[in-house]
Amino acid sequence: MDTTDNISQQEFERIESYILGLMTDEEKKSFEEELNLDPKLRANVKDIKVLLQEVERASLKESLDEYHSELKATPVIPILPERQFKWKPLAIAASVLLLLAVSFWVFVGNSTENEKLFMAYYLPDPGMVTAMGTNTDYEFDRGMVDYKTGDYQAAITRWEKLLAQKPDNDTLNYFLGSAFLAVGNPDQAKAYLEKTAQVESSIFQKEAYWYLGLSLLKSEKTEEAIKFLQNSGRKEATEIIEKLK
Amino acid sequence: MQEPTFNPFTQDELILGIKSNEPKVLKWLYQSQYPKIEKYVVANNGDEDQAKDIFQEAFITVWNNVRSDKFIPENGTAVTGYLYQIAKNKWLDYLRSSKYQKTTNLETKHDRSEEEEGNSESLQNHMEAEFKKLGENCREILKRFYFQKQTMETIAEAFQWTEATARNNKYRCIQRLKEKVNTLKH
Repeated sequence: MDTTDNISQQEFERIESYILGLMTDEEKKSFEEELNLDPKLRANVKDIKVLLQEVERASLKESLDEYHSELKATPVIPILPERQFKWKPLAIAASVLLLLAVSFWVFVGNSTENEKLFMAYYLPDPGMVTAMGTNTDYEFDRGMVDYKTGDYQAAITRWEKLLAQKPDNDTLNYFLGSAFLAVGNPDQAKAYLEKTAQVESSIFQKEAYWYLGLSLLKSEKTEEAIKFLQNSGRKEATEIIEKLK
Repeated sequence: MQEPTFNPFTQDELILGIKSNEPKVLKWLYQSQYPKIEKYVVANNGDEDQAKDIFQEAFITVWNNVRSDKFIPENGTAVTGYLYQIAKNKWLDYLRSSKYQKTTNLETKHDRSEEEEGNSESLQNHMEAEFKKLGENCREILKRFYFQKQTMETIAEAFQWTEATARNNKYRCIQRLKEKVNTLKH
């Protein structure tokens, strides 16, 4: 790397935005013309490019070390001497089971019939395989990564921004609804799922009806729930309706 | 140490995640694949520390090659298989090298030039050391902006600065690094 004179903040930011591809086509064109004529600018661009690459790489390295220590910090089950009677793990297991049983009873015992049904039948939509395409899909796909890892809140944040551009997109509305239901917000879920359910051509229409039904079940709106469940055409829907009668 | 039983990401999602430094993807790739390499290295005259170094080197090579489109996945296990292969090759190279002399029967030599890309190793080492020496704030700003691709607005908010202050601080941190690297050269 050559020693280049210290450049001003303004000049640095101009070079940086060129390297990171943040310039408009016009800016880029005039910058490249300048680049052709000015060897010093060329040298600066080259130096800063290397520097930024290395900063990114060093940051990655730091993250890798974090992932590593996290992996190594996973508790290891202690190995007890062979002859010793292993009552301790048994006792722990027994008390965990007891605790689970008690909390299950408290949880289920206090919930309504509808909630019990909801809990018995609700499984979040597993998400979809995304095929990388145009630029607008990029944010959607990143949201799908969040969604599939169970970070529904992050997915909601990304997708809500996209919704401004595509308010009627059936896929987007469907997964926003699914994400809201997954974080326990059936009312919001309903608003989005309804949009998808209205789109006759949508491949998500039936699914949207199913989750709409479940959302309303959770919000204790049994009659509406039944209507939607009937439209879903699912075998489980009939079971739920039977049990509600 | 447990291994996830299935791959939650498609190849495209992995590639996209690597290109955009998506923490969830990078972390999954690291934590799901490392145990295999540790097993391999430990079974072949190495220890855990060596496994870690080799794996991280391989990880960074994969990261570089995916970003420069030198690597394009072809089948279901493409990215993870590629990572494993590179780490394995690197370990075999090490066993063959002068640092580790022993005459054992090893597999045929592979073409290393296929894998490597990027700046010189000495520069990388200097930079890594200098980066670590930067103050906490500097490291954090640079990492958030250049690695996590956060906007200056977000960064300013996180530090409770104005955006102008944040930009000025970023500039200064870069200058500091630049000076350090330049001094090393002279």
